[in-house]
Amino acid sequence: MTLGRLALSSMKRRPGKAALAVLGLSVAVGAFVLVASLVLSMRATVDDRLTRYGSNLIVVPDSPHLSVSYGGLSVGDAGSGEVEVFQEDRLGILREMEEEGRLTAFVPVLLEPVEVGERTFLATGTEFQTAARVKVWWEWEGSLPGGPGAPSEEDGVLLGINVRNELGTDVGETLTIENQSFRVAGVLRETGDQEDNLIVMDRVRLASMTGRQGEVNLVEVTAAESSDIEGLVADIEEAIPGARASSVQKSLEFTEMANSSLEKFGLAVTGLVVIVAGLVVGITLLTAVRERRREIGVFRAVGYRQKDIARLVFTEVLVLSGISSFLGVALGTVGTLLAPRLAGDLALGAVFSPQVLAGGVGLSFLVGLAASVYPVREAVQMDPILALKEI
Amino acid sequence: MSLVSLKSVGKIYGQGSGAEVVALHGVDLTFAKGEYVAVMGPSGSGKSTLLATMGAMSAPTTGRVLIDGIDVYALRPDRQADLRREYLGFVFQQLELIPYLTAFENVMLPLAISPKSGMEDLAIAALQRVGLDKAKAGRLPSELSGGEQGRVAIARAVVNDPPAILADEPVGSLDRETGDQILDLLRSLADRGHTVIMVTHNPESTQEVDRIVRLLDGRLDGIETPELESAQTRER
Repeated sequence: MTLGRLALSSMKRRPGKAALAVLGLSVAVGAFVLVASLVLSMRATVDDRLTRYGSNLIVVPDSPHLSVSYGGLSVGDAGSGEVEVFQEDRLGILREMEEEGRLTAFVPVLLEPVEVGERTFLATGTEFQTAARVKVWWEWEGSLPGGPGAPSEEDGVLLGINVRNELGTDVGETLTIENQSFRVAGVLRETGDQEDNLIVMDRVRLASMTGRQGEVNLVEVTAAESSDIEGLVADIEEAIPGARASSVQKSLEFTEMANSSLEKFGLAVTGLVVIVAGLVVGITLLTAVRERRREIGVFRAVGYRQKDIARLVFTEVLVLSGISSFLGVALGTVGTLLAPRLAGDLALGAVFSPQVLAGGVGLSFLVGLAASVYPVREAVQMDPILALKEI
Repeated sequence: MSLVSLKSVGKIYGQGSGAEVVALHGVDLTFAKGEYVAVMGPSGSGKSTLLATMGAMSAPTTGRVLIDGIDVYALRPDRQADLRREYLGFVFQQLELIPYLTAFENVMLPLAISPKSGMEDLAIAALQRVGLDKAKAGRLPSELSGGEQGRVAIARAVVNDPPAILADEPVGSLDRETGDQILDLLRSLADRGHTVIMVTHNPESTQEVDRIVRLLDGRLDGIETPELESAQTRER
């Protein structure tokens, strides 16, 4: 018989307490694995979206007149007659980059004030299908011009929510812009951005209406990889003299902030669970040690040193931690597999990291050992005489 | 030649607390190798304190305890534990067998600290020495009779072949017949060279001992030899 077997025999005698300690530790490890995997999963999901839709760049003429903001960037004083423009034929470099796979898409945009009745709105000329692909946040009532059952791209418009509210024109109704008839194919749901104040229409039609054929105010560019943004900015500015390329930093910063907040929240929850589990394990061990006073007294009387008593308790803790790490990792894994089903619209995937699983195992042993420090201290300091009450 | 010596051993509980209890007053005693001694006295006379002090488990307030010439309480706690394992075997009043270990495993307890080859044989030999066969060795204490449990406790005390056996009321909780068997075993241990020091309050338990040490209020109240006492009684 060895001290290890002695410790196992002792644990078997107290299955309830051992089970309670294992349960506490398993829940802590499971929570850690689940939360860490969810954070990784959310990061992966956001990165995937960023990669899929790219990190937007906006390319504008480098103009000294900077008073109109679009997409979070100043693009010039539209409608003042001082707006710098690109000629469409200068954008060949972007087409080459798209073919090389560096860009997912690019959308030339023409901005022009238009009159609707007695009111003036800012119209944005674009390519509907490409724009909808780039602007993944767009949602609309009705349909996209050019889509099934919708007016053609040339004849249809999308209204920003504020424009619709101001004009009182709904989907399917006719709208006269600059004395030309259009059908309202759809109304953009509120974006909270200036798109709420825009009339979105076909760029070629807008250009022909306003006599600005071949002109482009800005180009929305979707990078294939977020890591390539800085390189794209430099290459575009070099290839298109007089152009200024800017990344839409806000979305990246927001994503980073959201991820960071999620991580902090996850860590806080896990920390709380770990503390509670540590207390459960500690109290359970302390109770077990106190119940074993006489037993420890016998061990001490027959020649066990303080370190032998510590080894006995630590051996039990290591066995409990080992079982808990296995169960906890299994629990966390099941939770991670179920999370995507419960996440609904978040569209999370199950992400497993060897580091997280190893961390779960390590956490189990760390919490177990930390929680056992005080009970072990009490056990080794037990006076053999007091432990036996009276020899 | 003495194996255990107590030199002016005094013990005060709660020293400095204002509620001091003097358990031993400068006791001087020696126990020879192979001697079988009973320590007797009424409750509170200090006999259990004396046994604990001799057992390297409770340091005296004054005086020294020597075992085989070693000043016990001059040692560090871990060395005291080693000394208990090497020199002393304990038989407790309630026997204190570990309930979830078999008889064999209980006997193995002192050996489990530093496992060596052949220690299973030592445990089996110790059980056989107290009259327990292999079939009984595999049983839990709850599956053994009171007498058998007492034998297991004695086997555990002698498995290391310690020079001294300290027994605290070893038959106090046993019936007469079983108690006699245990006392015979202790006698046989002394005959084999172990020093057996037994605390008891029952005069019937002292019939086989070589010497009786009487304590009263923590002081030595006399040392007797039962044979001499019997002879004196006969003369009267």
